[in-house]
Amino acid sequence: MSENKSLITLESVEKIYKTKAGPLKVLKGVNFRVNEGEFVAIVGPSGSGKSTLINMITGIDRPTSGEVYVAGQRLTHLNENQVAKWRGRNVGVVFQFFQLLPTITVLENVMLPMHYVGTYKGNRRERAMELLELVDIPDVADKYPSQISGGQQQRAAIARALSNDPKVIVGDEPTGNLDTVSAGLIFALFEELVSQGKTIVMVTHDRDLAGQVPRVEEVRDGQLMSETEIDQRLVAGR
Amino acid sequence: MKTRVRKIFGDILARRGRTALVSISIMIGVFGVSTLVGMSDLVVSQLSSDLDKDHIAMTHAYVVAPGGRISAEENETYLQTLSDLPGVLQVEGQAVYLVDWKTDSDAKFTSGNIIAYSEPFGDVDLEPIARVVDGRYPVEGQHEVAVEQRFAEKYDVGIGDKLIFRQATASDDPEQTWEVVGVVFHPYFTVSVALENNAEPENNIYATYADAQAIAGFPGLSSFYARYTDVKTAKADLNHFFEVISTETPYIPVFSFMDDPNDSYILGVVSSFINVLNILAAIAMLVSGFLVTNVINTIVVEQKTQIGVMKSLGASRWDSVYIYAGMALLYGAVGTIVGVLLSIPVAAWMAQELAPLALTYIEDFRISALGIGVGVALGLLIPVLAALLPVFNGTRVSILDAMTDLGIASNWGHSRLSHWIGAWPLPINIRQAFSNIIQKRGRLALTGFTLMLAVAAFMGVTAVFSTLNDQMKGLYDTFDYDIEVSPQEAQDFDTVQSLLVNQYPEIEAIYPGYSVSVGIEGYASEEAFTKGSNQLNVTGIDPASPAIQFDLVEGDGWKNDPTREGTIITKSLADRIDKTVGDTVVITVGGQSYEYEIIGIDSFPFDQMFFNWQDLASRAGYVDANGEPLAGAFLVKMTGDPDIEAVDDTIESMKEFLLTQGIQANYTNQPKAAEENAEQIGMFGMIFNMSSFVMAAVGAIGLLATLSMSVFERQKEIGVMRSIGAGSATVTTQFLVEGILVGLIAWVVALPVSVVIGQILSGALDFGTGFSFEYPPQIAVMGLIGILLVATLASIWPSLSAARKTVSDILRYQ
Amino acid sequence: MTESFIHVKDLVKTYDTPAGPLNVLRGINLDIHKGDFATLIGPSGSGKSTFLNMLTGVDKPSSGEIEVGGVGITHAAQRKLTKWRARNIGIVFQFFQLLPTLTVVENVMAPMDFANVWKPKERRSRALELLDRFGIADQADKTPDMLSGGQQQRVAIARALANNPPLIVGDEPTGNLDRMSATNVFNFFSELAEQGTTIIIVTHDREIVQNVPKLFELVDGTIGQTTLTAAAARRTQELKTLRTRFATGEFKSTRL
Repeated sequence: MSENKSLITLESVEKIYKTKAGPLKVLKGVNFRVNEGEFVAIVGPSGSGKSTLINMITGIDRPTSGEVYVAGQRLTHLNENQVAKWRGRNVGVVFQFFQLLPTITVLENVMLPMHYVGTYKGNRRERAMELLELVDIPDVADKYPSQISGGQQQRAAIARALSNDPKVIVGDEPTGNLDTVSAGLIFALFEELVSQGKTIVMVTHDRDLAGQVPRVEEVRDGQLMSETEIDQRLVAGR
Repeated sequence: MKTRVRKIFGDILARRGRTALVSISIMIGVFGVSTLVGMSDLVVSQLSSDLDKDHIAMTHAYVVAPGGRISAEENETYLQTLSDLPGVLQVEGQAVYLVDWKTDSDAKFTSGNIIAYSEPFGDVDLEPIARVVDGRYPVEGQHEVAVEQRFAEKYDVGIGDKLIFRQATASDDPEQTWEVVGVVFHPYFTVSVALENNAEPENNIYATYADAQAIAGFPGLSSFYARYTDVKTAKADLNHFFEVISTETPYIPVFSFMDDPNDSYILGVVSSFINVLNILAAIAMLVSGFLVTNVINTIVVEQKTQIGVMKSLGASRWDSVYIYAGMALLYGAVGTIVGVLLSIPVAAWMAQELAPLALTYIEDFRISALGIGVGVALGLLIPVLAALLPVFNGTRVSILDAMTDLGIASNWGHSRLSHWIGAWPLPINIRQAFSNIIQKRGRLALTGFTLMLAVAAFMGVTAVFSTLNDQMKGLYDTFDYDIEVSPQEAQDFDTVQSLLVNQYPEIEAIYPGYSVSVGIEGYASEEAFTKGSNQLNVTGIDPASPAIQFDLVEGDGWKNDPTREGTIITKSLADRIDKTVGDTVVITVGGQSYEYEIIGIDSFPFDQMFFNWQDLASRAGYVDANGEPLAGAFLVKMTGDPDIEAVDDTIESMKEFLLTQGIQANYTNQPKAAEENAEQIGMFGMIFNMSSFVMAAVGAIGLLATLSMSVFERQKEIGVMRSIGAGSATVTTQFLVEGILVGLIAWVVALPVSVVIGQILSGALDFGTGFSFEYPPQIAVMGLIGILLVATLASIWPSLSAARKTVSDILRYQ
Repeated sequence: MTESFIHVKDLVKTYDTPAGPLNVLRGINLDIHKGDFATLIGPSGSGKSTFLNMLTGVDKPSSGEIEVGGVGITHAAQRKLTKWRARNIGIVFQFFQLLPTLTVVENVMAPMDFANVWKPKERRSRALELLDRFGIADQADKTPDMLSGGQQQRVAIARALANNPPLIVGDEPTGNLDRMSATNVFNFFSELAEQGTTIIIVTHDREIVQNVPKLFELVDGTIGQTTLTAAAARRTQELKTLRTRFATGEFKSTRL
């Protein structure tokens, strides 16, 4: 099954959490495929499992059963340590709560993934500056995160996500903390990255934003909705 | 209000690991304080009750009798003379000498002490004399003796048993049988010149003067002690007192011991030793207080949102303070209860062990209310006080701030320091570690301070005791002989010398020696025994012999000319009387004054003067019928470098041999004395270092707790690291590096602090006049290794725990 | 016309950020009447939570006036405000914010303890009554982590009602619930409103607000009443415009 062309494949993925209130089935047999170069938005109410779905793609979480393939790697075969390292090389993560490290500069934050994974030796500074230019904030390179705005921080986070030139960018509420205009800008940036060949999967609760994305999937109660079940308003908004 | 109380208990129970850590730390501190305060309270109380202020003597003059048998009646006269002196209220005498005894079932004789008084037992006023525990006091002329209670226990000897004594003089029945008629308890015992050490109660046998003299064959009393109208008069009169003894009695004063009944010397020494221990214990307690500050601070930071929620529900600032201070109180209560309970048996046991060192005795298991009280007070008060700052700080937060805490909160980057660190050419993660430490400096400072104090105390204490050890070793190295033989009665040197040399081929040489108490003009003694007087117990040697290896810092002494006239004095004495080589010093001995030229200054660490022994003995009146000086001590040097056992064997044999020649003597195994001294110092050092180990333990717990809390707080950071490719090794290393860095910084700060602690300690312990505190560099290295070890161990668990957190765990917490 | 229960006049809030001043609320005028059930929508970062914080007195505006139930809260002293809020506003927080080391019933009793309402002896039974109304009285002695998200939210709502306040304010009260629970909560709020409690909810969940009586939208720092379709259409247009402007390079090197 790993011979097909999709960059991301989830096969019959189930996830059950053990909580003090009893076992909680968050994903109920999800099948999901993303091809290279796609820009996908995943929407759904809170608690629907959309974040868990995203976490399967990044390897941050593991399915209770089912398989996950990303960029040719079967993630379920890797242990926690290996997944972290694989992720640093292959997936750029832009999460609402995973911001920049506060005690190093913006430039160093962008350099960090290269440092951890061991890529671009001797070239890290230059490459990091290039990335900051790409997201249009080269002049904040030597500032500390607390000295720049939320929008700038998020753009720096995107630059960091691009650090090791991953094929896949995954975002979980990447615009969650931002005001309307900044959110729009980030979205536009994503569009540009896609046009440059990246694959982007983004979780958002902002349905209007999602409506602008070429492909939208909806998660409800642990399952992906089929095309016909998707809210007509989204289709109308395109 | 029930909600507050329920929250306190709920929180304490929810994080059991943390509660355990903090409570254990407090328990250690309380245990230390309660034990030490309790132990010292018990010892000091006992000592105080032993020393009857209204009857204790002020002046103790230790004497020797040159020869013959001085009877009890003769002593009466001398005692009368002395008590007639102006200012004197009462004078009594004591005789303490060595005897060999055995029971009729023993094969060999055992060495013991015989003690007699110038008064009947029941009338002895000026010393806390033995009280009868069983039986009665011995009566004169009935071949009766009493034994001390500990003697009875140790040797299983009781009333009705027969003791056989052996003594040297040929004229008496060599083996005599005496009956034990009583068991006494003798709480406070004094030093005896004849024994050259303390009369240990477990070796004490009591008899009336005449009987004791018959048993041991001693010449006369070994000490006089007097009580004056007041201490001032006593001190002022000391020289005169000695003069009168010299001129109007056959006795020769050897040294003296002044004591102020209201400020007893022993009490003072014990108290100062105990005070130092108490201070160290208090520091350990404070240190565990720091941990509480740390933990409570973390809690209020962790619970920022909860505080906000409670405020929005109507909780006042005081409600919040109540809750978090209440938690601190509960931590304190748990630790205190266990700590105090544990301290009770330990304090009782330690008091019993320490008592003999303080020259007293505690018979039974006792509980010190003071120890418990102090432990409880500190154990409850310190955590609450320690918590107040973080509690007031943390509960100040407005609802708005409390509830809008998103992402990784940090204000790093606005200070010069942050930019300066940013410029360091270090790998990113080490720079990050520094920045993190500086950012959290408040909290880590507390932990680092704890560790710093622990390692500083350790280094300071070790330095002090290592200095002491070295200097004591140096002191013992000064004496180049193996055995010191001090006969009970004066002997002619040449006779004894040829006797021993012929009998023992292993003897390389024997040197004569003599010591006596003299008055030095312009000298105010700082020595504990003779404080304030101008008396000093000085040493006479044969300058031609190598018995004393001088380490001269000035002058040549007897190096080039052993017949030279003059005296060698020690540096500490020279400084005190402000004289140097070439100056004259006037001493008074045997009632007369003599001038001596200072021909050398030695580095020996105590006040001391060295004379030609014949000169000294003659002037002191320690002469035979022809006026020839008699040697008071025989310094035996053996061939090669014999070990302690070899020396002991020789002493055993020598003892027997000399007894057959009619000579009863005291024997000192020099190498053994040196070793025992070193062991004692080592033991004291261990005790003091125990408190630094306690502090280190608390510091390590503190570091462990702080780092664990740090891990918990920095989950998001760990999540970020993991999400962008950091492997487990990277995460572990980050926390390990931080922990070790804290240790390193603490050590650097600890270095100067440890020097200060060392100075204070050597001052407080009052070792004596000549000890200068030195700080060997190896100790700094030891401290570094120790702190790195502690920091690493304390950081390992938190760093592994940090690495183990999976990103999904962290996300789920969000 | 009945006097308004909540009266907001010319409310302005500006923040100082490292990137310059940020005008979050730019002159809000609003009147809510007793027994109204009002819902405020708007995307994240639009200032909804900021506005709520003004209403509850947790934050102070840069300028403007707010009156709730006749009490002017903009200039009230902290301590008085705390006491007043405890008795007059029940807050339902976005992430429940239950105290984790207290049991469910103790959580519901906490507001009564802190505000000192009801006789101490009555507090537990009243708390149990409230829990029973939501069908979770049997969870009373469990700690919150033993309950599901929906159950925790119900506890949070019960807690908000503990002191019988005239105003309930909810910040994303259904944010972490499944569809059914969310609908139930909104139905319950409707009932409460009918019984005279004033309710203000803030949310970004478009689905749940399909049938609310009064819908407001926070746009460009001002609040206006609106309908769902109108709101959606406006937002979509805004995004389209932004994309065009970005594509033409208008936002290059912007400080945002």
